[in-house]
Amino acid sequence: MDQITIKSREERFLQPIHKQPKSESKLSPREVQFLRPILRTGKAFYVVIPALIVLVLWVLYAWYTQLTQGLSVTGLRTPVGAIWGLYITNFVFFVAISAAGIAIASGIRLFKLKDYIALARMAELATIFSLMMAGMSIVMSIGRPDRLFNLILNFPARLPSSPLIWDVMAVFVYLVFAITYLYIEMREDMARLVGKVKWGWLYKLLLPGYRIGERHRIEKIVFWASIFNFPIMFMMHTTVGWIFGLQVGRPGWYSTIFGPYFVLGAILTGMSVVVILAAIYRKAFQWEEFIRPVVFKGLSKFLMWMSILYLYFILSEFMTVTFAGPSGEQAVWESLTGGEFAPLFWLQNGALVIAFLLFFVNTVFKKAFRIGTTVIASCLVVFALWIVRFLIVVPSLLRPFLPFPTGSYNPSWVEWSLVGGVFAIEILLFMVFTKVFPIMPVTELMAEEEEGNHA
Amino acid sequence: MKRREFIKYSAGSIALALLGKYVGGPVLGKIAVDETGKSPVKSKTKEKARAIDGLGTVADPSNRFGLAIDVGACIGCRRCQWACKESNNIPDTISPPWIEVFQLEVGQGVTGEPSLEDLRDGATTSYTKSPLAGKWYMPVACNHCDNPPCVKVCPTGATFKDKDGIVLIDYDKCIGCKFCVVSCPYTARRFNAFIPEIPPEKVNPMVPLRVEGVVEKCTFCVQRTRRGTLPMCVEACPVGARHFGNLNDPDSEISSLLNSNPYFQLLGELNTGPNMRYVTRGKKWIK
Amino acid sequence: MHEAASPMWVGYIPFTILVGSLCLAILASILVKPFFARTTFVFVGTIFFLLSALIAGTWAGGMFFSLIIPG
Repeated sequence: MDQITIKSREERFLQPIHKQPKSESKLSPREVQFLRPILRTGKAFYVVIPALIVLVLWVLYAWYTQLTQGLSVTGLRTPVGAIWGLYITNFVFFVAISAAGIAIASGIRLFKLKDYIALARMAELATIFSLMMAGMSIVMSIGRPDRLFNLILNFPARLPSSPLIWDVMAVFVYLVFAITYLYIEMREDMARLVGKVKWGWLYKLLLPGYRIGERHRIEKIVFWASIFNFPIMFMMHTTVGWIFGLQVGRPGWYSTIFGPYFVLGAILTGMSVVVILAAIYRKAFQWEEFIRPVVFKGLSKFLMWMSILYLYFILSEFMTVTFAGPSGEQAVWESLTGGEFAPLFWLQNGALVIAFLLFFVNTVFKKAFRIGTTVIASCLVVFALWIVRFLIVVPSLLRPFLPFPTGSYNPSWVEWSLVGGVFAIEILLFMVFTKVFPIMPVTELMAEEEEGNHA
Repeated sequence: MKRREFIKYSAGSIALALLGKYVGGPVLGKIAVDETGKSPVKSKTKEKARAIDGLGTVADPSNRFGLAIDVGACIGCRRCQWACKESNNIPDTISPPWIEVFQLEVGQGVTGEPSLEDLRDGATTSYTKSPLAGKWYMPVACNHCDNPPCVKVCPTGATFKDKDGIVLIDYDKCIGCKFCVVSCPYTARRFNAFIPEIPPEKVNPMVPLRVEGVVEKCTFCVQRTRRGTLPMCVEACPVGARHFGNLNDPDSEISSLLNSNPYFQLLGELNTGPNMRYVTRGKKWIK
Repeated sequence: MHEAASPMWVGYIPFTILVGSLCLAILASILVKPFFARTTFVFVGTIFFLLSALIAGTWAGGMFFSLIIPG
């Protein structure tokens, strides 16, 4: 088999597992800083976690109500009204967040972006948890979740024709890939901490086949995986766009722009969520020297370009329909620009414009840069893009081609509960993961420091 | 050490799998018992009859069924709507039922086909008296398209176009994702958001009963048409405005009707290939 | 009306790109070291384990919901 003869610099920090003494192996002061979430629990934790658990119990109750009484407890109706609503909005939104991990983690490893290493794992987690939440949103929205397995059973026959099956496949592939990616790059950190933190026993369980020095090969695998991340990410978001873009049956949906529109929206949403995550972690665990302002400067610049591009896409759609659109499309866009959805539509556009201006000021005027501005702008982007997705799904459903009476969509308490609950569950997952596993890529960061010291 | 680890992990996973199948399954079956004392986990798969359109019938591939509606003759009485509802186990919670009738202005669609603008201005479904002077009536239901968008997008294949041209639904496969509902340009499909309840004396045993959470739509009364009779809507029409038959047969009534009269179809430019045709033979204002 | 359904092969494009990229990633990991390298096993094994876990989870989820949903 393979003989390990490479003595990498990491090996000076590592102990082989089977020789690990169970008691007090000291953590270096740097490691203590990185592992702050695992080693101590702040007061906020004891307040937020019970609150989230209560919310989750409420969500389970709401879901139980929906399962036993059917989707009649929601505001979804057909043919008068909208048959897709908040759940599908949530699904698209969470899938969009999942672009985060790919963009940051793959970019870091492919383009050797040393400043962003600290964000790698939290971005990957955003991907994984968001994909799970997207899947859950879909299960919440279908009428017969007890027949979920029919999706698998009929998968080969439906593959050539159903955009929804492409989506199921994309979520499966992306989720499997993302978890594997996270797992293999996390192995080294777990191995390093086996005897040293209280969750060490769990790490040992999750490390079958670990060998010292596997880091070298893992790094190469991760490099290639990062490359193939990109076509997977592009296809993932394009197929979500194609659920809408390939339907002739609804005015306002059938459009060639939807594939690229959704990819761009995903990159925008994902990066903004990474900014918010980075800011929260930085503040919560006093990681100011590892998540440095340069990170926020770079993301600010990137998001400036992405947000103006996105506004350009919205303008493009607006121009095309308003100048010479068929009457079906005109009716939908009238409801957006001047009808019942006008407040939401202009709120969305206003938030995006303000976000762009904030990013612009942050990037162009060096003295005016503030991390807080970047975070506020990112929150505006996330808020606006949830509304964007709502306005993609619902207005077209309320203006069908045939002149059924114009209905309205009034989401019920069940829908709001389940939508909010999905957010709560994602936050809960983040908090639990941070408590149990190292959220900072310890090995990579220590290696960076060593390189810096020797340079 | 490697061999031991390997044996440990594989033995553990096999044990877990066996535990799940042979202990978990029966335990779950015992805990989850409904009021008849039967386990719903088991009884669901074994005792229920298959719920699929056209159960017990055979599709003749030489047929190509289509429907023609004479909008000049239609008086908007909605008897087709009610006959369809009564004979197809449609619950009150599916509203409107499979057929919906639109009232349009005479000025709209003078050449026959109403444009989308015509449809949008002044068309209504909520008229209470008919026929009114200056109005014409257009019933709409599933078009059983030749290129059906609903069949394309179904993730489980629950809806399918059968060999004789009728688009049908397998209610056991449907997961209720409603993709077909949003992809139909004619808004022809209905979703059971409520638990459907039909009084036992009104149940038609020839038509499958649907559960909540599945989608349903016009089936061209497959339980009747494949046995040689006409759909209920055609029989119920008091003025004989609806015509049903085999489009492949040049001698059928519907073929001769379509060959000798101009007709229009709805949303034909969307390339769905609809099989519902609107004949304007008896158009009252063309005299 | 002529039959104008889209050609079948069009629907395989997303599948090809997605699954193809995954397979290429696996292939690249094999090329990094011979197939029987432990790290390759870990990578490929994790992928297959997760895929089967997801499919099994879908089945289990369906079973769980069938206990709650009436009809």
